[in-house]
Amino acid sequence: MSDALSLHAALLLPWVLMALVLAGSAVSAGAQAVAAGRRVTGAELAGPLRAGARLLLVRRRTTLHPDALLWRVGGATVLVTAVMALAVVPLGGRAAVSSPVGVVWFNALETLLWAALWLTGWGANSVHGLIGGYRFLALSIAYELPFMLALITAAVYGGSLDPAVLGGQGGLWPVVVMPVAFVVYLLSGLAFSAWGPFSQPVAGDAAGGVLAELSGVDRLVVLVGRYAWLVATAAMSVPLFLGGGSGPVLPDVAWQVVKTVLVLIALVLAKGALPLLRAERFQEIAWVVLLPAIVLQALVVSVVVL
Amino acid sequence: MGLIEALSRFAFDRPHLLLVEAPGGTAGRLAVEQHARRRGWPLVDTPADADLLVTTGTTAVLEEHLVRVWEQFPGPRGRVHIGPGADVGCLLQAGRSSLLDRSRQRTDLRRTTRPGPGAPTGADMTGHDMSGHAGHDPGHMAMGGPESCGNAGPGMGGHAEPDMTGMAMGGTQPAGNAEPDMGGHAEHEMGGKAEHDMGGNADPGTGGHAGHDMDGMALPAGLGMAERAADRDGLKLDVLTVLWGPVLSNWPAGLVITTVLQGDVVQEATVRLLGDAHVRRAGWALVLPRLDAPAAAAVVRLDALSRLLDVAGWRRTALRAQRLRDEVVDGAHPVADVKRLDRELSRSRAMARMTSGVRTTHGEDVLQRCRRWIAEAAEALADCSRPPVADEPDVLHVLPTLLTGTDVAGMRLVVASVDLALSGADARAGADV
Repeated sequence: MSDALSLHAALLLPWVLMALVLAGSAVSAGAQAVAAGRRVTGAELAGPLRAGARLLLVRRRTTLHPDALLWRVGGATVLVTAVMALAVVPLGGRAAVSSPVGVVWFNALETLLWAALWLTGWGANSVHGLIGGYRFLALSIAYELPFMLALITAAVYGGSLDPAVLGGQGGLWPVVVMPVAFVVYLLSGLAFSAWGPFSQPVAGDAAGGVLAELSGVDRLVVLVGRYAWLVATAAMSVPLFLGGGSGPVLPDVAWQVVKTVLVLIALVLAKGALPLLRAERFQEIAWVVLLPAIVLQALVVSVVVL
Repeated sequence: MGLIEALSRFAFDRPHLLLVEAPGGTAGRLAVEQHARRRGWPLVDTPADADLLVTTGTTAVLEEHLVRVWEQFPGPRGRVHIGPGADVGCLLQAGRSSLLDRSRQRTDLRRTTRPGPGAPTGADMTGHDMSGHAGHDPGHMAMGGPESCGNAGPGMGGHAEPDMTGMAMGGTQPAGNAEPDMGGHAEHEMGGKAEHDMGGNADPGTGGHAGHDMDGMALPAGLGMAERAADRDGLKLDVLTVLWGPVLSNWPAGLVITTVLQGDVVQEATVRLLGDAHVRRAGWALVLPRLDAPAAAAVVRLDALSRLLDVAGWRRTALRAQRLRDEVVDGAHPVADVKRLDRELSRSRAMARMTSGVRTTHGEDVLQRCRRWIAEAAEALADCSRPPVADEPDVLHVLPTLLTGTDVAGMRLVVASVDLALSGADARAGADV
């Protein structure tokens, strides 16, 4: 039992998560300031802290006859699954909870997001939330298969489902061999956080979609949950595709953090860069273009490994 | 308590604004958007996320909607009205200080009375759900007029929720109240509550009380079950009547669309414009008179384009179009930038995929409309010639046919693409020359 749980990695986990969430959100705030033509100052970068403080001071609210339990559970699940997903990502060779099937664990938690975001929308008994929830499900149908295949491709190449093993292998970075899988993985990461071009579930045209009826702490939990999933995606991409902690000069841990931060910044900057990809139109692209491409990629990698 | 005050001041340094443009409030809207963009005060899409309700134009036609939106604000909240010629910055700062005024917020919180949860009765449905409240008084607001903004501070609505022990609720609908029966979901502008079609015979215009047919089943909170009807694929799906507008982000002022939705597909749509046409056109009159006709034409097109891009979710480009619009209003001629925006729009394949095929007026689709607007704006600024004013068919009659069969995203795009016609901006822009 003590082998599976690394205590000090587990204790470090929430701090690392918080630091990365703040860093990611600061980058996002800075990018928004630049887009609006404002200078990026400390006040801009403190935007996320300010938003968090505001949400703690603003009252919570409810609607007429919501399904309160499922609504709040849905919101909380977004954050909880992100933390659980991050628990299997190795930091310096040891994950907080080392698991021989960490990749499958990650995928399973991501599928819980289907329920979580849909419930957050439906539970509010509001038409905007419902529309947002269904948009999310439509997006999920589009990205889920390619995402699973991307994970499988990385596991096949590394010969293991354990992220610690995958990250510790050294040698050529997998992303060189499977660029399509990496791109699909990143796009899915954006999609399950409803971020950037995939933010139709929380879009302004449906008055905020899934977020339409949330205020106060409930809203904070869901917003932090979205960022936390971006962090989890970025963190997991390092052992899967970016060679774990390998790199000259700096120790493993430092490289892992650097790579995680770089991927996180890339993910965060996708916001506002493209028009919203409407779910039904994205489904076409995903099933007709992405899925065959990733299947081909998996085939190529399997042949290479053989 | 020094710490909480300091935290409040930090937290509400950039309050979230819910901007409502009533007919005739275009100048105010442009000013607020500019202020928000320059200071980083977010313009939000839902009252759940807003601190200040900022209204411009003649809000009298929207009053009932504004009251209902106001009560959906969680506290602390404030209201600001931007009148013609008002100092927007000053008024918004005053609004922000009202958020920090704790005794005022506490009064706001205590001032509402609310009936307890219980089965709704027909008697409760008078006008508004707040029994015991004489009139709707969303509070005194800071009237923006020629006088200084120092006098009336923005006011607090009279509808804050009472303290419910054990529950932290903000500005909510009381459970068991008649709200949903106001024609079902009537005026559900934002963040609606349960919008169930009451036995299929809800009539939003008259606030029919059709919902009390309980079918012998005790339905929760007096809401009816949604009726089902055949949809376009021959399936039987739930039918929901939903009102869009007049309080919605990037939405033409005073427009109310009653849609019958199945899933998120619009099966029927009825369109209504609140307020007079001449009031609507007068809204642009405050912005445009100092500009010559080509610049005016460029302004209205850039404005409509920025709203359409924002609805399409392309925030960065929408902000660029907004900045260009403001530059032209200030008298500049940023021809090169507008042309660059034009090129970026034509090169964007994502934009093409997402907006092509969404039919709008004049036989164009939304993508072509976007490109035409930006091309006309670029031409107007470069050649100093006014683009031809398209003879817009009666949009209110054409819109329902355009909207039938689209999904919600498509509906928003179509409405944003006829924005010029609805605001009468183009005619106004042309009229002065």
